[in-house]
Amino acid sequence: MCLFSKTTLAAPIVIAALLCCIGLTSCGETSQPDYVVTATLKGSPYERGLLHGQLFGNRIRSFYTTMLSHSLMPYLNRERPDVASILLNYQSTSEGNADSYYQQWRDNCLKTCKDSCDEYCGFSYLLMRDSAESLKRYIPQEYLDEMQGIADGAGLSFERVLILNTFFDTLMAFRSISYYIRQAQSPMLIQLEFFGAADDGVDNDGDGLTDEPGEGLFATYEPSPTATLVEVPANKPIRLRLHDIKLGIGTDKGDTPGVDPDTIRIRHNETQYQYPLDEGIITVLPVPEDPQALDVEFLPPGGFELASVQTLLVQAGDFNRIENPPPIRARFMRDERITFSTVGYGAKISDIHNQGYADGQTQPPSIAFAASGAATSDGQPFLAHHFALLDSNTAHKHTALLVHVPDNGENPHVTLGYTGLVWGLSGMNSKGLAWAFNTSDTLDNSMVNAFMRDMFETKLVCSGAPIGIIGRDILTRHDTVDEAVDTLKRIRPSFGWNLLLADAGGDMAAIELDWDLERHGGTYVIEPTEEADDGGYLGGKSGNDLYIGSHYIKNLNDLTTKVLMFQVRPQRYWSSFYFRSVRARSILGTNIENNIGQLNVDKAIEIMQVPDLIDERDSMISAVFEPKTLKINYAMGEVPALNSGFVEFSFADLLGGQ
Amino acid sequence: MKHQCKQARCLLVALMLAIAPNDADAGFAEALPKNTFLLDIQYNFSWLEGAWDNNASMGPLIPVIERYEPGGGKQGTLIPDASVRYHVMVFQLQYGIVDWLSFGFGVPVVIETSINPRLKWVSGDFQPVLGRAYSETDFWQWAESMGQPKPEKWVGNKGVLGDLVLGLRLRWTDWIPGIEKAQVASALTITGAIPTGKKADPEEIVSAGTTMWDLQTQGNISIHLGVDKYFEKELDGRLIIGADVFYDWFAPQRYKSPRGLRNPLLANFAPYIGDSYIIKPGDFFGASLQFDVIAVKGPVKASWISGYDEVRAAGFPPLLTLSFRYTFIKLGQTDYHSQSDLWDYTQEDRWRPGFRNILTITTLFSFLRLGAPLQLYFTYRSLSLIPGKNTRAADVFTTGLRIPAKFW
Repeated sequence: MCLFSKTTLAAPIVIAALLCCIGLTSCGETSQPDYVVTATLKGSPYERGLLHGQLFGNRIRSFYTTMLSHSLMPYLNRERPDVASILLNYQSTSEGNADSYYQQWRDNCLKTCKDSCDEYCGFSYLLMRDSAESLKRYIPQEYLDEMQGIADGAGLSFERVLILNTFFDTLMAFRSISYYIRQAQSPMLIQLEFFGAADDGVDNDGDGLTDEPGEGLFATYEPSPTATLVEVPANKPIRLRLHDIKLGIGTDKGDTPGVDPDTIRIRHNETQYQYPLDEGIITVLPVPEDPQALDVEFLPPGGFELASVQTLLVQAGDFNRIENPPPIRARFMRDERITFSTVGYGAKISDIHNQGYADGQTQPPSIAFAASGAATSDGQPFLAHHFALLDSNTAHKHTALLVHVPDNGENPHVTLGYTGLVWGLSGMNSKGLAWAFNTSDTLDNSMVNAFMRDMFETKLVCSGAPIGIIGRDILTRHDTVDEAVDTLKRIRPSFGWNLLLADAGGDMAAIELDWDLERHGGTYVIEPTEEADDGGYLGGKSGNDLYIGSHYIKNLNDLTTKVLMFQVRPQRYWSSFYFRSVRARSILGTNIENNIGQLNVDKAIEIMQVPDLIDERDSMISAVFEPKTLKINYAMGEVPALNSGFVEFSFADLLGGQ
Repeated sequence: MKHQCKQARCLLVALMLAIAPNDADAGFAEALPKNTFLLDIQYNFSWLEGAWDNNASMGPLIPVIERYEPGGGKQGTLIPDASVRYHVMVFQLQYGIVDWLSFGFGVPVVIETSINPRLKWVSGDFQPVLGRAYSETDFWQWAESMGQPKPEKWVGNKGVLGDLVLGLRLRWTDWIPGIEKAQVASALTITGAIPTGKKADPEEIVSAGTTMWDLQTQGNISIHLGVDKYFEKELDGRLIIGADVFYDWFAPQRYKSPRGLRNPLLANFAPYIGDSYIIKPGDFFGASLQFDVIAVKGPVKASWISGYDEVRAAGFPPLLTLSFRYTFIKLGQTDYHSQSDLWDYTQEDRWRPGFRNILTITTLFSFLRLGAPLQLYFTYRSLSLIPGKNTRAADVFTTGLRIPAKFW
């Protein structure tokens, strides 16, 4: 019997061939998903939200988890001990208060919690939730309906979607308070003296007087966006008086006050010095009448360079060892930057910006600028924006360009933001009104207002219109900058913000907002032609441009008051954004000035790519809006955002197809 | 007594027929004679210190973990310089159904698995709040205050069963008359792994399971086509060259998502990837080339195994055989499927298509010629000597013994 046949013989050959085929047709190599999603949302607010949630539910859940649950909330939780030392509602059993608002809420939560209890029964979730509920009162119903739609479409609870849409405002307000409390207990620069300025025969402070008593001495240090002094002697040291106190509150109760000399660091231009390693260049002297203060004298080897601009960046810590929350650390002051010129340089104080040098540690904050008319190469208005604040290696993966087409005849509009948010960091409507916002730290906010009212019984909740909702509302209902400004003058915002608006008619405005605690007006409008004290333009370079950073240039005294033992001072005295923003705005202004008359979209993109203007770690979204042609050039989905390259989106084409 | 002698004679016959001539241990086309059993007990020790990355360079076994400070850039980078040890016993039983068809099944039992994460830390950006960048101590102080413990050495899988393997080998060349003259034999082998192994604990940062996916040895279904070429005439039978082509298919498996119960900062994905996710491992497609060299044929002793027939005993496997095998395996893309395409990509990025270059050296001692029905072998198998791509660089030492038997 023949045990084999052709079929039998052929079988192994077929099998071998099949093996080869299977091997060659196995699944293709993975590729990175798009980090930018786009969608057109039409219909009622709820319908638009529902579609938003259905389309991007996985990204929304991912954004909530990775940004809030994994990143922000754990970090906010560690602020609780500092907060609890002042605000009794947030004390815990371990601090001797088992009946506090926070502890009772937590205990009840833990009884029924099944999952992620550390998060949902934690301080940060309570903070976010309470604040969200408070902000909800200021959110028009249509946006709440939209959020409900997102929740239903994505399979999330409304509470979480509300938190997702309000966390930004809450975070900024809370951050300002917690940061200020920390700073109040850290060393401070309180006095500054330029030796030799009082008898050098030069008007160093530009007051028209020469060598008057006290010239060169700043008995009360004042942070400045320009040089502190000019034409100072180059061979004389500068004296800085640092001071540290213990407030008897906070997590460092009872510790020894005072500045730790071993933590003193001074960066002179691009050279870093530290004590005691560079003793002799840095000289530390006690202040006999004030044991909590130290005098620090600085003179670099060979003195300061003649006829030049010099910058000092000063930092110091105290003797404190904060253990809760870990890691163990001292309290460090904000980096203070002092700029001055040496004899022979010849410029006025107002002509020398406190710009300094890149220090390898700090990053530039958000910037925005707009131009029209003669400032541009083609007469076409544009608005450029680069927002940077918080990426945590996740935000850039969840970016979204959303086109909202309301069904009630209101303006269709585009927002650049994130999945799950009803708002964006910037946007433009079908009438060519474009807007963008930057943060602007201020204690003139609703949380401080609550504290001034309720003191130790304060609950940390944010009030006022969330900034993103303000933007959506402006785009939905207004056609021009003027209309938008009118609305902004009547709004009470959740925090401090710098806005930039431009429209198809070439109008533009910069607006600085705060809560207006002291009722001296919380909306400061800067027109392109508004003059500055030095004869130039306050907000621009040419009368046809405006540029903003993340600090106030008009609302200079946002809040000055005393709350308990805290001397509350304006933004420039304490905000960690201040000097970074001064530097970025100065560089931005120089680049704009150098291109007046040639500004356009390409030039705007080129300016935004100046390295000193790019936050390499937390850049989020960048865009250039063209109000007349209804084009949006956006870059997002990478860090920094500019690395993704700009993509042109024609809103006009989309509207034409409607 | 008579009955016992009869039984003993049966056993003798069994042993006589158990080992046919030319049954050298090349293995690609080897099949057991009819009604013959072969028991194989082996101990495997595997060690793993790194993985070949997408650039065919040696990198860490576990991907680095980058930690970020909200609004403050990078806290730092955790680099797990993990070291893995597997101790596994494998029990195999093969049976010759007919001379050209054998059946076998294997039972892997893990004695112990240990993973030492050996976490290294690279500091990130300067943090103004600290006045310094996070040191490793800083980071773990902070993380532990958040409920995240520092991962320590993990030891587990003690006595845990792996995936059972069933197999069939069909030596189809037996159907070709006269093929022996060409001194060639070929066989088709199909094995299947039954999912009896245990999956890794999802709540552990470092842990390993005992499934085929964890062990990365073979697929759920594996098809081999092997060919052996003998050189009886030319080289006195001292060389056998074997070649094998194979395809391993992996079945999709569902895994539970970590919920952060033990590692709230480092392993809490369920809220956005869902309660579970599916892994479809990339299939294997490969080929092997093997050289069996009979180093020492050894003395011949007529014994009860050979029926006291010296000629028959001379046909038993040689005393010492050295085998050298090179295997190339092409690895397919592994697919993850959860509720988050972003998370899927982060996992798939680690398991891109790649390849393995495996060198195997075996030393086989066969004592049948000397009258003992026993074979002892030692094998060293390495994936770390020749660069691969997107694959773990495991080395394995195996020692085992084989006992043939025939009862009817």
